[in-house]
Amino acid sequence: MFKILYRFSASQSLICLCLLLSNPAFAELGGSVSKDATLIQEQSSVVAVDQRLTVYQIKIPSGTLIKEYVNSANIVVGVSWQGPTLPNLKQLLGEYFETFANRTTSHTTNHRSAELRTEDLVVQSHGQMRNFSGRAYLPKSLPSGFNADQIN
Amino acid sequence: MNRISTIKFQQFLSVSVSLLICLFMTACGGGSSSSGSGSSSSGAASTTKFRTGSNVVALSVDGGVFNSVNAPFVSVTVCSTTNTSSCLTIDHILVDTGSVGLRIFNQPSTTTAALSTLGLSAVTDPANSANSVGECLTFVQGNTWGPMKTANITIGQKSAGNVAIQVIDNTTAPTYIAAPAACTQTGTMMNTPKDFGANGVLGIGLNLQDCGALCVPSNNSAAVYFDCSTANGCVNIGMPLINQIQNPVSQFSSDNNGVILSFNSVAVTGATSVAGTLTFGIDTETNNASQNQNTILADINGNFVTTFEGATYAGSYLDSGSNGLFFNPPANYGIAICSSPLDGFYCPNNTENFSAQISGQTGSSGIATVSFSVANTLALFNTGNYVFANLGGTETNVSGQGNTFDWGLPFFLGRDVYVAFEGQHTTKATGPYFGF
Repeated sequence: MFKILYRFSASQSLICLCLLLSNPAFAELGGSVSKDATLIQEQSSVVAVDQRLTVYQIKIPSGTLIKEYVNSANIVVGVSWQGPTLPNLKQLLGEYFETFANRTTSHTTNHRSAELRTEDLVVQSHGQMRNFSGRAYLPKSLPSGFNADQIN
Repeated sequence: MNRISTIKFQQFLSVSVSLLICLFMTACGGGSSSSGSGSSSSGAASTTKFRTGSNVVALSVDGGVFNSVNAPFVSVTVCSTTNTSSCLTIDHILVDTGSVGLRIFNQPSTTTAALSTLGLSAVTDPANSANSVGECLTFVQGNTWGPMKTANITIGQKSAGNVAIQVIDNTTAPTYIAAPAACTQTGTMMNTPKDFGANGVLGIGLNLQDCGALCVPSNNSAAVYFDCSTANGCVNIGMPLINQIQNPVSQFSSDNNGVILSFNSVAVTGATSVAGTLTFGIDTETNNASQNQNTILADINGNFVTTFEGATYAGSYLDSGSNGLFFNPPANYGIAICSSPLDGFYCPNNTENFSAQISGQTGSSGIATVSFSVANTLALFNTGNYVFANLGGTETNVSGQGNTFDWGLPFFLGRDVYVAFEGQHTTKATGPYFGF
């Protein structure tokens, strides 16, 4: 059902296979990468050899592309989405969904933008019907010196 | 959820009174006119009077019922198609060029009666006329859920019959009590006017339908249209374009190819309220003839290109439903972001003055230069005003379709903005395009 977008290199396959075997069915921020996600090479995620986040990608049936950014402990520390529909944010944000959903919003009239910034969680969601984009990450779980703008 | 917790009820009353006074004065602070001058225009005030005529309806940006900043409102009358004297006029409906379709909360905050008392006819599933149709429409702040109905609608002096609308309502037993999981999993549900900051929304964007081709295939995964029955609950279905919720203006018998939004400008510290007009039709009457406005042709997603400080924003749009100018400056440029609860808004120490270029698809009329400012949001909100021309905030730059520059309501102040619907002809060009 999910479209595979990138092929693995030999070294990447080993990493990915391990992850796939140990993954639950659901991807969650703060949890494990989706079993349906595909490892991709994304140079922008690399700031240094020891600060690398591995990037996985899923295209959901509506055409929306989801990326999951995984740290060396195999924890998803960032996600992003872009496409014609919003993804299943309950699944993608996991335990953080309720925090986002119950945020104190200061701009109720702005129907194209929803944002939450705390020390522990950042969620940005923007867009209009047919064209949505957003991202969420755990600032404290990012590698030291990692520029969060690379979660894109 | 309230936008400005510091706004007092007394201030709200004074805003309401001043708005009323304003509405009854003909010389209400001048107006706006076409501001495009050749290939450039600015946010500076212009003082031509508003358009008048049977195709013009008054708008107000007045904070509304829920202290909503930079939200333009209109009143809409909804009547039963079978008992045409069964009507309800609902005020403070958000005028939104970023969505399509008329959606009204079943129980508006300012009317005693609910829409359910009007006896509006249900829309039935084109593939199964025994069942009714529910809709889930996604706004980033949350989703609207409720049944599709047909109604006769009147906006100002213009009317259209048998228009499909959404009644936002999760109280109609048994079918609509609970929104389906496919609807609730993408965000919070906006079940009351307070959740939405308005009694409803008049979506008059570039498109003719709210969902379009995405929702047509029977195996679509858009989760917008649902067949609802007592037996099976609500199940995602495909919806032919003609059966989807249409752009309400396109349903008028004339003046139906687009709209022109016009608002007064405001001072740098803002205003408690601003008057405006919504004019139906472009080049269909003497009062809506094209002037010398720039014509910015949009792509299939309603987007054009903004260039700003050397960065390109290919996913840009004009949106009266956005209350600020939302963009991320180029890396390392840096505009200070406000602290909670103003997450996502900008709070520079000093007002930043910028200039950007807007260009459309091939066939657009040149490149427009637009001046804009970003002030300290906290300082703006502390004025107690509801309308600001210099309110800005962050965007999400996710790779794929290009970065977004969301030109919200501040862009519309002191301007005429033309919204030409997709496939509709005007003197300047065929839609979809924005003109200003």
